Amino acid sequence: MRQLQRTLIFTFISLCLLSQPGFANSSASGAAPTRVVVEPSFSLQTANDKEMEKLLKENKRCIRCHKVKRKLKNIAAMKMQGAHASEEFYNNCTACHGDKGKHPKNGSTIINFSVQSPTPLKQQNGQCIACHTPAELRQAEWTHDVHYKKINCSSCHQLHEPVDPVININRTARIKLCIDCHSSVDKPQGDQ
Amino acid sequence: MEHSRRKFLAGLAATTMFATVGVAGTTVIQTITVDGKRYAMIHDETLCIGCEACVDACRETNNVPEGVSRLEIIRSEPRGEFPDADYKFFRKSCQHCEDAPCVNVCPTGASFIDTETGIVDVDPDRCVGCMYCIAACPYKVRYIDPVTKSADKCDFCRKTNLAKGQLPACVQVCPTQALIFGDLNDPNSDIVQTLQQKTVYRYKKHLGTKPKMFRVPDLKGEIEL
Repeated sequence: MRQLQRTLIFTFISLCLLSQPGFANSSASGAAPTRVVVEPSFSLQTANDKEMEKLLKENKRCIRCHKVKRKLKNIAAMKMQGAHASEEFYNNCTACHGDKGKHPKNGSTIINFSVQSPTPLKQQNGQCIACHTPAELRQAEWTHDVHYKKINCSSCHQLHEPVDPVININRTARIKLCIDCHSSVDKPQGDQ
Repeated sequence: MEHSRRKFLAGLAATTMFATVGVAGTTVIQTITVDGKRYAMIHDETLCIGCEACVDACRETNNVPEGVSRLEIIRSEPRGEFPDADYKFFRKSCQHCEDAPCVNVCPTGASFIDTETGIVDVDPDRCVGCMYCIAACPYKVRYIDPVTKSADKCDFCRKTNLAKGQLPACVQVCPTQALIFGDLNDPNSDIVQTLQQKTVYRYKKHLGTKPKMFRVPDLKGEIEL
């Protein structure tokens, strides 16, 4: 019996350790090492009350400035909405954007999601893939497979909107999305 | 059940044959010579992105009812693992065979090869819906139109875009120019030029139906040379 218990504990620990490197949690604040599986809530970010306190403090720092429009860089007022909003975590900014660090001063480590972002593409998308598994993404839409390394998720997905505009689009709109990027300048080939 | 159906089909075939020969004077097995153009198509699988714009354009242009389709893009299972996985795309549509089994089996002469263009087409007024052609087609691209009750399939937009002097709808709409359409008898046509430059294959070529749908193979994942 004890032997069996030991084996089980050993397996569990090794599983936890093995699954760690696949997650870009170095930048996500307070990401506990146990954040292994996709959970509908973000509760796996914190292991104890102390971490929770720190996380809330970080998020409040973001909101303090970003609740109004930032005029200098023309950034609209932020309001976390949609599937990623979390009242429990006070909007949960840090889960995706990382800790505030030096931001807004130069050399900040904050993660910015856009084409113009100084954050490398791999790191931007790594934030999404930390929770959304490849299998889940493939099932939702096969094109995830072929675009993941080429464009950032935010090219199609917008999380600060009440509803992500790319979700549940109709067939025609979906095809138009393909054509918008993939069109070449050449005329159709062939002749009558 | 088996007996009655067989008898019924045999009787049906005999009746229709008799009727056709009597009325229209066509032979059951047609031997034709295409003296005008010989239209064909290339699907470049290395360029295709699987967007299915062609599928929708075809449906719209040719007024194809829901539930059936003249053109499908079949996506393969993913090749490789995320994030390096990719897909192969296969165009499923009429190959416009020069020796078309669907034409050969048609008891009424409804299935025919247009002598001016080499396009395999169906005359809905002549079709009795016996579905011999559907069974005979090795490419499984024919269907019974739920509205006209006639067999139907891709006709390279012969009655729509081609009649207006335009390219087939799928070719027009393809964003990556993965489809090339043209006349095999014209040595200066885009299609002949491309056929001379690119490696192509034809699906089920060994059946000897002489299909005119050429494909540039997407060889990713094959043995590297």
